[in-house]
Amino acid sequence: MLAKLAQLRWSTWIILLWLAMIVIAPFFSAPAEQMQLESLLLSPVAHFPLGTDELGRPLWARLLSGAQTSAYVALMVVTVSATLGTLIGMLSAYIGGWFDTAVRWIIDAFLAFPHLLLAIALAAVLGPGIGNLILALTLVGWVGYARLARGQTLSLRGRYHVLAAQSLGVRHRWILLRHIFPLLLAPLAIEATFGIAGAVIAEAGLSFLGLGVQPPQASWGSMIREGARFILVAPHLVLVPGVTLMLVILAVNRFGDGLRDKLDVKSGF
Amino acid sequence: MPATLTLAALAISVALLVALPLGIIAAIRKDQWQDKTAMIVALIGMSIPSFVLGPILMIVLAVDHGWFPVSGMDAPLAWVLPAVSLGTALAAILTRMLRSSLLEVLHEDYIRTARAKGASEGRVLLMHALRNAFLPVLTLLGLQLGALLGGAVITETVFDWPGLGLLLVESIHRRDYPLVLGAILLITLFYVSLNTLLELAYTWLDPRIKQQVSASC
Repeated sequence: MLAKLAQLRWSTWIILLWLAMIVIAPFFSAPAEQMQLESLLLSPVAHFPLGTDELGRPLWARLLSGAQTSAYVALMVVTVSATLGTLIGMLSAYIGGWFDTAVRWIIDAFLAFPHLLLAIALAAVLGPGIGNLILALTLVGWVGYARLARGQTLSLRGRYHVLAAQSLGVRHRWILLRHIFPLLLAPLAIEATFGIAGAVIAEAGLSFLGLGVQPPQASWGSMIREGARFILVAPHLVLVPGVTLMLVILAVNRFGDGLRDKLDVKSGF
Repeated sequence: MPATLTLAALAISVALLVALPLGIIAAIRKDQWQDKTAMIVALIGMSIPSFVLGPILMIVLAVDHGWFPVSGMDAPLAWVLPAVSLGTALAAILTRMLRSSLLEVLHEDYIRTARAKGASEGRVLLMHALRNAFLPVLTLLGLQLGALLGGAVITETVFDWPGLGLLLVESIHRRDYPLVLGAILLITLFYVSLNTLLELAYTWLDPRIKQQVSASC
């Protein structure tokens, strides 16, 4: 138990550090996009703790700025797709009939495509940029929440407390909100935590392919993409954002594991 | 096109080669150091994106030591780095799944029966437990194929592997949309047909499914 707490703690620390990076990032946005061609591709030195990139921009400022990008995208994607997916899934299962059939068809159609591939396709069609990136990831992301919410609602719909509320004449809106939704919260929270990790990876992946955030704005993915061209001269350009990205994802995944163990979802339903 | 399939097949092989022993060891030595180490390794593997692992492997193994070629697919050992960086995430996920499903299966009655009739521990594990525990792993493998094929697009870009993924990315940058759509449909076709093959593999692995089907007919 103590070991578990200790493990939870380092992941929480990294997540807090990530959030702190986002908070202080706006104060350092100027150096992140300021080119200093006399000091390009520097290895870490006193003046530039993490070195500089191919245009002489200090890497630590780009890193902060990238943290902001990743968190912004992840937060938007998870919030919108979780809300939308949950709503659609709950309604689909609760109303049933042709509506449910239609929703099931749409969900199945989305699931037939590999996730990341569909996001790549959408990003390609919509064009690059951070707004389109969020749109593409949300369009792909809602399906998972919808499927989860639909499945859970289907099994909850027949529970006695829901039947009792129905026979008492409680409004459907109220039943969905107060009698079904609270029981969905635990699995949804876990799904959303892993969703944050997924969105961070997807944002970095798409930016790595050049389909996401556009220069001069910084993203960990595009930093790795640009750094990969100088991998022989300046490996730190890849290592710094790469390791940061890995640590954040690791922490969020660990957090999700901890949450799942704590809420004990498998046996709860 | 075959280049992508080759890469995917190699990545799956790498993943299974890592996941099988690691998952089994973690399950037998539950809560001991072997289990904990395996789970930490799996969590790290799950969290490291292929476009981070790829360049790191490149720096360490290709540039510093020169054991493997940096990119392309012509040199004899060129497949190693792309397959490893694509297969790592899959290996990690499969390890976790195999461990938990093995732990579940080991509580079943037929395991106790097998032990009671004097079967050796290795035989119980390999013949009785693993075969049953592998079903959920196979399901997960089918689901993860999508992530694998999506990841292949990125891995091919990292390593200049001349497959469908690289073609897709290049055609996106050239705004050649018919080619983009074609490549995506083709990859999706792989995904769907591989999943169908997996479904067929169930009946071979678990004859009970076949009986249920013929009973219901």
